[in-house]
Amino acid sequence: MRSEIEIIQAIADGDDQALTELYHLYAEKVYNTSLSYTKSVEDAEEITQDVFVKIYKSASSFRASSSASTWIYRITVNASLNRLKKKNRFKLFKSSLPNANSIDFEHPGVILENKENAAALYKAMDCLPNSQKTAFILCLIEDLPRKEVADIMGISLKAVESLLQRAKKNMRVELEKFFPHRGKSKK
Amino acid sequence: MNDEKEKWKDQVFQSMKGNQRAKPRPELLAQIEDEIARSKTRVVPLPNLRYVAAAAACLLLVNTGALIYYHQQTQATSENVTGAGDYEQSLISSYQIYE
Repeated sequence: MRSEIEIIQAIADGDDQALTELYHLYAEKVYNTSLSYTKSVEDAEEITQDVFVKIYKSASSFRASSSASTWIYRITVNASLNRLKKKNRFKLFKSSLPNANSIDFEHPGVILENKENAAALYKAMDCLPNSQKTAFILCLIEDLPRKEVADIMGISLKAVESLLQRAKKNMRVELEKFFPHRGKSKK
Repeated sequence: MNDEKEKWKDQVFQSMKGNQRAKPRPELLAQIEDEIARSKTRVVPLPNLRYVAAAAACLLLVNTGALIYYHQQTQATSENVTGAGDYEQSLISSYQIYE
């Protein structure tokens, strides 16, 4: 069985089978990460497509100075943030529509008992700036080791921890705002 | 009460743990392969573009040469035609052919 780096090298040599192999290893990770950013199945699929096309085109420039996983996550994060930026350009028009931002996102993989809390999580995540959002998604949703998150974001381990703490603090405030009566005991 | 609220917020932060991963549509791989195949046909490598540019320059040069040659030839012919005209004119105006 080939290592991930060997697979990427094979892609660079034009081996189409290698791309299929890499797709089966990473498609779900790429798809779920982009889904956390965009909260849209269609956008997540388009980002997944863009990411694998980009991998195919730039496989020859992969120098293996970082792991394949770090490289692929970095491409995914960049593609997702670019998509969000594009979407925000049209936000001005969309905000004039009634209830444009009030739709709760339901992640397709969430188990029933977590559905409500997960919807609250995604709603609160909207308030975060991109760096905090990325740290939160990669650490707490994708469950990646902090070291790998630091490599993906190109920052120190300490900076990742700091971003994560700030993200949680901001989200606590948001959760309080959106759901002021949650967490109270029923009498 | 505040403790309960904070506990709920912690639960919210942990709500994505232990969930299944969402799966993309099975057709997505085929779509990606199609997109790559399309982009392969679309890309014209730079060396090929250089050949195209060189061929276009040659064609332009040959055409310019041909135009210049044609222009010169036309001028020469018209001069010849004028000369012949004079000759014919003298032939016509002089009726003493057998002098």
